[in-house]
Amino acid sequence: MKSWTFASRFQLPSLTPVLATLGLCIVAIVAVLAPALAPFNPNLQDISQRLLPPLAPGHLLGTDQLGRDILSRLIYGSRISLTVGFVSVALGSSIGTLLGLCAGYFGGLVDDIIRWLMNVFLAFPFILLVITVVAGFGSSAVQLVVILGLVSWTDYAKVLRAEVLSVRERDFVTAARSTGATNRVLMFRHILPNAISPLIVLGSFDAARLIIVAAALDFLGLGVPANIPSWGSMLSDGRAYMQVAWWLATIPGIAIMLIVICLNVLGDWLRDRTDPRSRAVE
Amino acid sequence: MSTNPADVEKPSPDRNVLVVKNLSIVGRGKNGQVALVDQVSFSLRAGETIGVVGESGSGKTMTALAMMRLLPPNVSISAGQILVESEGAVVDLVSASTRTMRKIRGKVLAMIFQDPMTSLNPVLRVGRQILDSLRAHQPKRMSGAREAVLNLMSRVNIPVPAERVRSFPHQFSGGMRQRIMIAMGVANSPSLLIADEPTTALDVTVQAQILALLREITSSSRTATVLITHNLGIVAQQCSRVIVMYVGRIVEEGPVSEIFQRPQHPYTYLLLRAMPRLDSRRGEYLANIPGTPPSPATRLTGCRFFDRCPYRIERCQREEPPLTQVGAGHSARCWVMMENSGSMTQPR
Amino acid sequence: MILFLARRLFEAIAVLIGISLVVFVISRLSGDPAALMLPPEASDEDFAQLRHEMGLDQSLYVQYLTFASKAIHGDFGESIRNFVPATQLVVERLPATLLLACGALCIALTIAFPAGIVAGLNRGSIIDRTVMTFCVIGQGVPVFWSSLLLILFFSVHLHVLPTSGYGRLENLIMPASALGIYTAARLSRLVRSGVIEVASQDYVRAAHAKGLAVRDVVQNYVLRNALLPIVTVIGLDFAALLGGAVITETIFAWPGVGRLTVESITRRDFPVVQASVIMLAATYVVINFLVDIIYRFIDPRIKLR
Repeated sequence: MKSWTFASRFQLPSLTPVLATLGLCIVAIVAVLAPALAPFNPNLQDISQRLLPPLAPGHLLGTDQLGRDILSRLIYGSRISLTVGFVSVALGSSIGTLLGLCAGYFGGLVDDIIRWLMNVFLAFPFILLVITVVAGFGSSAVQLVVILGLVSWTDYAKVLRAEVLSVRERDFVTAARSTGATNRVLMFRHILPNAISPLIVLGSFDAARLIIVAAALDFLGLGVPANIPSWGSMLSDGRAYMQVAWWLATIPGIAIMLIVICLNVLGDWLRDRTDPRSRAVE
Repeated sequence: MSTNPADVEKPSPDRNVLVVKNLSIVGRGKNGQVALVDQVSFSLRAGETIGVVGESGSGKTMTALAMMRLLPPNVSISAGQILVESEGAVVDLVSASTRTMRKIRGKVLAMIFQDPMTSLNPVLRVGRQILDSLRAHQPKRMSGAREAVLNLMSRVNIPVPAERVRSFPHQFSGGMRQRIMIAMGVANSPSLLIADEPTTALDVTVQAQILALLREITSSSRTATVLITHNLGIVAQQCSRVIVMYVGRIVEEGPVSEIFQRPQHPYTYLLLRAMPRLDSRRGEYLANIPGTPPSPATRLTGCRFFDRCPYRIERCQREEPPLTQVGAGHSARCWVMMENSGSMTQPR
Repeated sequence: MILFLARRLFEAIAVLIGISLVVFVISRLSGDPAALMLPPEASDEDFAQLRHEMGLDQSLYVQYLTFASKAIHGDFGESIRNFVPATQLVVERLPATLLLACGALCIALTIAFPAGIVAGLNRGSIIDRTVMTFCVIGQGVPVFWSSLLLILFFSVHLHVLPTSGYGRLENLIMPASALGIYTAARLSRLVRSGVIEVASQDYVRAAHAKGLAVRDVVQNYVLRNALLPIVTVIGLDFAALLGGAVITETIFAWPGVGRLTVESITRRDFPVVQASVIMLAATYVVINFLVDIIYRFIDPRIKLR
């Protein structure tokens, strides 16, 4: 039965945000406890055991072309993804928040300059920009994580600037200003806490995006060095062996897909909860 | 077309255009169902204008939307009947099929909404929207369509219609937009027009014009009108009868002259007293009714107006009063009644 | 109107200048170009002479101006590899990338519009849930993985499509599909949410109140309003597809600009990298600018003075 708004009068309940959060917690636990959980050293090569399919004895997910256990590599690979998800996002959001805050608060020339910078960064294809910078400055794991953070600030700045522009006009800000609060106090103690909720949504989506980009770089061989197991490089290995060993290319992809889906679902749920414009069924 | 033989009002020469019987509307909220409108009944004859008065949340808009079967997604009619005549037979709008409703909306009943800016399609030209109203109920006309649209625009006093027919809604003033809405509403000569606060979003000077236009159009075509408003002044001007609603119930109904001179329900009385008057003394405070209406979700026994009523007695809290007749065509839902309370009772 | 155009133009030019600055800074910071061109045993005089020839001994300010003025004329120097002008290399590859982006966009739109509209008009139903599930999955699948899966399925197992190559329709199908999945998912959601938001607007209710047939209401009142803002998104997505096809081009050996750039980066072929990155970014700025203008023409609410 549909109403005039073309919406069903029945709304199916949704448990996917719960599943998503659960999934992310599991990944986090796996990443932290990797040494304890992985059955093998992820870099341990054993040519005699190469290219075993999943469910082979001792190797639940099989082995790759060098005999390395895929399950262990998968478990250790989660560390890179999770680090990117947390650290790069933290870095990018901090920079973006600061710039967005200044742009929205001070307005005028500061705003113009920051917006110009934003537009400049946004004009570059994201992947290409990251690749270029990484190639220019070297790619250890640390550098990769930092570069991803430095390049991804624009979305945060844009969102935060918009929030600040609206929060700035609210009464409590005027009240605080009239008591002689300094700019710094106004910005950080009054405006920022009220502008911050869309950031959490954005952080979730951005983590998903950065994890994919980091994996893409690993895939191209431009990411973390080869001695660190990562899902992207596993996929790249699997590319050459697709005819004979489909699991090399399939399994790490599933892992990436699942973590990204969890982050996206979480982000959606958070957005539905915090966005005042979304119409609640009330 | 469905009818219930036992309840049908036989069309009489001075017949009813609309009969609402015990209409109840519920909304689905966080904590279950909430009664938004409770057992509202009234009827309307051709050419009559009835005012529906109440604060926000009194259920007046929901009643109107229910008649058009355009309630929001989580609100539905839980009981009652809404009877109108369509194509020679009596139809109960509560149980009518969607297809029947499409034939009825715009042709038998039409509605004018409160905010003409948001109720007009921003990307379609105005002439096209008026044409849509006409074409919905007539076979696709190749000729005469443009004249019909221009005629309608002239009838609602839009100057130079030929130039303005290709304009977009945002290019008109608020008053003009409301005229366009009225044009769309009367395009197919409906027997019943529902006007939901048609002037609330307009300037005071324009309000008078729109109200005059409504009066003129509905009287010349003998269109019955349900006029929803919170402004008793408008009711005095436009309506012959009035219904006062409070928290989803009718608390008083009757002829306008009666109600204005001898209001029986304390709420009505206080509403009338709260109206600013030109002849009030300088420095006299505007009276208002302290407090706010209870939310429909709160479960109360007894009269809904209890905690704001200056004339309440103990019985009011225990039992909800029924709608009691107090004069010709005049009823009120009160134990105390203003006549009984007289002038000796001071508000607490 | 003129004022608006002038301001946007000025902003676009400022961004273009910014782009050239960023590229210049990055390339200067990431190493000495002269060191790449000479073997390490070369003498200091050789280095000095090469630097002089390349203009590297002048102040950074002058170097930038030279760089920028040449860039405006489309001169980015020559590829270190084969001494072909960098610009020419990029322009040669551009059609292939355009083709891929168009193909991906077509696939995306063909999926997104029907799916989003049907889902939005049946909110809360099973079909809505199905579409949303596909969207969630589609946005979670990385391009490099979907490319591999497509190859695995259609080339390795079914042998119906070639794994790489360029020139025929069969070559385009898989890369365009892999590239288009994400865009399809994203656009579906946007279309759906646009439809949902518009469907509960007052003017849609007023349209129902007129007794219009459902088809008319959907077509002229819901869709016209819901799809208008999507147009800008489509334009920007197309621009993003141009630069974002890097992975797809690499996997399918597609002779496009993205693949050229990645190869040049690994080979440290700076002129080519500069040329392609700047041209891609400039294309984005231009498309952005055009999209803005077009939108102002099609939305009747925006007054053109």
